[in-house]
Amino acid sequence: MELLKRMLFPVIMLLLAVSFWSRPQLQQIAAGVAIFLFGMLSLERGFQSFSGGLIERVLQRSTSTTAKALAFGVVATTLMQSSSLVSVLSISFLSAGLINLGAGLGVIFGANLGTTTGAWLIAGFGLDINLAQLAMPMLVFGVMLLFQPNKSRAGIGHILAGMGFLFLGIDYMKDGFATLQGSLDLSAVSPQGIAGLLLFTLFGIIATVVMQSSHATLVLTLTALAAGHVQYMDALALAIGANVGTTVTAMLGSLGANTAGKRLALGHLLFNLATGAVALLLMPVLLWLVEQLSTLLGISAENYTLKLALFHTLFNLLGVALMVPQLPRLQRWLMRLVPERSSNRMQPQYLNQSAMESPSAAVAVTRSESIRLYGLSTDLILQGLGWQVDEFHRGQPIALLSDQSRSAVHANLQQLYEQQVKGIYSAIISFISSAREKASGRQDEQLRELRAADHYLIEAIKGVKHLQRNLLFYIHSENPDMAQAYQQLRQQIGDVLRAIQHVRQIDDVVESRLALDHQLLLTERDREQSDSLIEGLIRTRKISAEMATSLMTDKGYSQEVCRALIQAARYLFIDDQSPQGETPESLQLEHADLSAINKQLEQQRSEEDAATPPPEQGL
Amino acid sequence: MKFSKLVKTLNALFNSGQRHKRRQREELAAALIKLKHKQHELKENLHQCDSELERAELEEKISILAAQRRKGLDMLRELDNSEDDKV
Repeated sequence: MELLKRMLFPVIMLLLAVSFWSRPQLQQIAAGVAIFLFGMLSLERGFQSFSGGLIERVLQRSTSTTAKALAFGVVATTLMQSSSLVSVLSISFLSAGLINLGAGLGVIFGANLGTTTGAWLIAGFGLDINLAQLAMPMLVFGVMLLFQPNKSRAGIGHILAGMGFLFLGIDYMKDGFATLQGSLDLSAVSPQGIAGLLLFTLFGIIATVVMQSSHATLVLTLTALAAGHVQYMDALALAIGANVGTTVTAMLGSLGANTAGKRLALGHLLFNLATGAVALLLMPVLLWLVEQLSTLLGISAENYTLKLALFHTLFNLLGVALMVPQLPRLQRWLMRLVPERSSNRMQPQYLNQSAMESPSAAVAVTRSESIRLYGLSTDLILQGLGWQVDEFHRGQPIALLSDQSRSAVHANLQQLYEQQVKGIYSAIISFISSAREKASGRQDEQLRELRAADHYLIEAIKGVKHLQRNLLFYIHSENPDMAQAYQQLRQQIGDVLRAIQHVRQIDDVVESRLALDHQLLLTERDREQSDSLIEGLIRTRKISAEMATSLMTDKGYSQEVCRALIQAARYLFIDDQSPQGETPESLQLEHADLSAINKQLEQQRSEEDAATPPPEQGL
Repeated sequence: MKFSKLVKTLNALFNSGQRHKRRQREELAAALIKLKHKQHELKENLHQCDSELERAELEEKISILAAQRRKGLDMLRELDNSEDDKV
């Protein structure tokens, strides 16, 4: 198989070179196809520069029902003239968990219907007007806009230039077939009847697989049909083949996708295979329908290109009509056929190559993986502090948590970090670096923040690792003051983790931000109070100078852990739609602000205490 | 429309820095309104609260909101007084 893959490309190149040499007229048609494909690439690139915004937002919002998903597929493919781009975006979104399998299948079915509009446009107008003339201004304006530094303008430039190249390519194909007039007649060499139908279906599949575009195959078929190089029936078979061949792009796109993406690609393949098979089986019925509808729509009997467009629409409609009622069954079947892989705790679960196709999907999977990293990191932190993870997550009060600090499991936090966290952290960082190449604006900012959140988590683990040695030693110290001081340090981190647990349940953005800021205020207060506590212990000689230095250093670590966890939570659990770096973040309070609030509160409380009369004695 | 006003409007339309600043100002103002509402809500809760512990927490949160609003208003004033807006 590998050898076949490697050989395919040079064989195609060789065949093309030989055919150019033997029939120079073919060069114009091939150049037309090349220009057309280049136009499609430019068009896709142009639309991709708008992805990470509008397209994703619409895709996410307009797929709540099958009907909406179908409509989105039709409209998006009609506008972008690329079912491949829509399919790849759907796979990317499904892989990221932003849409479900039913919605993804709906979009893919709709995209198949959407491609039929291209055939109508070309058959209706493209073959009668001078497309090259129309292409010229588009190319000029497109290329001028391409050089603009503004990303949106460059995107519009790509779209305009892409459309220009599409038109130019069609014109070249038209002229190429015109010059071939009389010298090439495929109908003369093709077998008649079912064998011919199957042969041309296979041609359609091969052409689409090679060009990676059913649209290009369809345009080539339409221009060849208009020039009389293929018969009407053979053109219909080519159109069916193009529909089946287009699934290869989605299958290739799903190679880097997770299970959900693979299910969608397989669903796409099944849909197009079933539609193609039904169209071949019901060919006489469809032909009769085309004739009836052509008469009704006023399409002349000799206008085979429009009839081809009508046939293309009819058989895709038939496919949708047959498959939509079977959608729940198809979903169940796909889930059985492509089961969820058993997840390895040490490997990333959400990151996948296919999510890279769309910045929004990349942000979504990075967030999910980072939240998973948060879970793994906090488990490690809890173990490092000598607590039982399950008890903590069950909500057991911190004071009642069973103390595991003498257990051997705490011997090597570094080893646990390398086994459970480091691999996932590295995978996230590498994924973010690649994803940021495509992302810009809000998405880029969100990816940057998620990277910062992951870094804070690693800092927190490192802080606990530094703290652990003395903590586990002094917490069992015979000196009650030292034992209590270390117990407090541990308690502070536990309180922060509990506060974050609470924040994760809050939907209101202002409320959750306030809860984290409040925790930051308490952390700052703990720092100030422990400063005076340690000074008091030294003054009263309750702890030695060595003990005091250990305590001072470890207090610093504990503060760092608390702050790092709060910062990570800010980026991970508050408002996943927008970056925190925007306005509200700039209202985040600094050390000095928090200290001032604590002083003011302290003063206010002491004034209130002074104003309150002492309780009356006796009766 | 007066010529100077037209120039100012056109300048605002084409000056991306100014556009960005205006958007920043609008977002900041919206954030401050949300904080103000939250502060009022917490003050009302404080009046109705009997628990000493909950009162302390509410007071702390109100102080945080007050400090954030002060900071935000300073930023808003800074944005209003910045050079770019003086046309």
